[in-house]
Amino acid sequence: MDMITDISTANPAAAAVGGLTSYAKATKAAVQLVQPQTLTNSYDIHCSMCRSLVLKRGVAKKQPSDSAVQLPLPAATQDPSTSTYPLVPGYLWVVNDMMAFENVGFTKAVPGGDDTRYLSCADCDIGPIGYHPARVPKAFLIAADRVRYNVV
Amino acid sequence: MATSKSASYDYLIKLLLIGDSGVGKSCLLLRFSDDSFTPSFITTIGIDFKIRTIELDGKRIKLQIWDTAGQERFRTITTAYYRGAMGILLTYDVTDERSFNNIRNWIRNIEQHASEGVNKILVGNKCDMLEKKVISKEQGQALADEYGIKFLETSAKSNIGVEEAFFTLARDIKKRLIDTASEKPEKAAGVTLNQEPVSKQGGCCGK
Repeated sequence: MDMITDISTANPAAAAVGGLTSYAKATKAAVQLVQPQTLTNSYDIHCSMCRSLVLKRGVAKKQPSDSAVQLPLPAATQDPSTSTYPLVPGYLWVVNDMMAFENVGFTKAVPGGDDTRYLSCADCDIGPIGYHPARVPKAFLIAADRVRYNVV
Repeated sequence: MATSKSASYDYLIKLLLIGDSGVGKSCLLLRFSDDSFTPSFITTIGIDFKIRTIELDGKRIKLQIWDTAGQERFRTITTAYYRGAMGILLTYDVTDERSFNNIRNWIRNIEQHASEGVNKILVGNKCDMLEKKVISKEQGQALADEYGIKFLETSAKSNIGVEEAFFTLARDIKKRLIDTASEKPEKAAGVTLNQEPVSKQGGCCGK
């Protein structure tokens, strides 16, 4: 853990942004969201809308996005059938135990699908911010570009 | 393993929110929402449960909180829903007498289906709506006393008493788990989580 802290604070780009930072902004500022040795998240992961803490740093592992999986557009979109959002070119954060989350919501099974569930912010219900695929019981995935990072 | 350390916690507690529809159970689970309460895509699908991490007396506690999500419309809740529940927030709306009177029915339902010794707390929600309030604090307290459970008035909207309700219940459960800790190790007192969503699939609310 200490090693991760050192790398994070030593990152000059991190100082330029700071605080809860979007994926786009962090990427633009060349902030290293992925810890290079462990491929884990360098920073605490928060909801994109409120300050709810979803995952602590070092808890999730980077996983290339599965282009076969699409998520509906989040936020105001009320009709699930209207539009989808492919999980590319972003990547995903994966944890193998749902208890790895600090705060998260699980929806009911996605209508018309298998037992796949969407993940949402536990505190403001925004989402989907990720999903739990029925076919991989031990995978809980968060879309890297649908959350903010507490860049410190 | 990247995730092994992260999932560390001292207690895992499964809680249920029970009460008539419209009493604001789902709102008790929202912390940072604004007044507008715009229905998001997620609320359209419906939340099954939420995971919350709290710190209580120096211990890290994972709360897995289940909302009945519409099942209560049938005025009964299946045994599957109660499985493994360690605590229940019995919720009524202080502006709705019917929801208050129904608490007795819910307690009967709990006695039938939940495991013995499950901790309960009575919650009178929407206490910010003073002009519409029909159930007094004293009435709430009297009912809670009758069943020997704790009582709190809350307002999800004004964020009054909500945290306290969850913390009070969690603290009571933690105490109970410690008291029975000689029988089984702490972690074993938790719930087998992965089976929960699957087992719920057979429930009466199809989607």
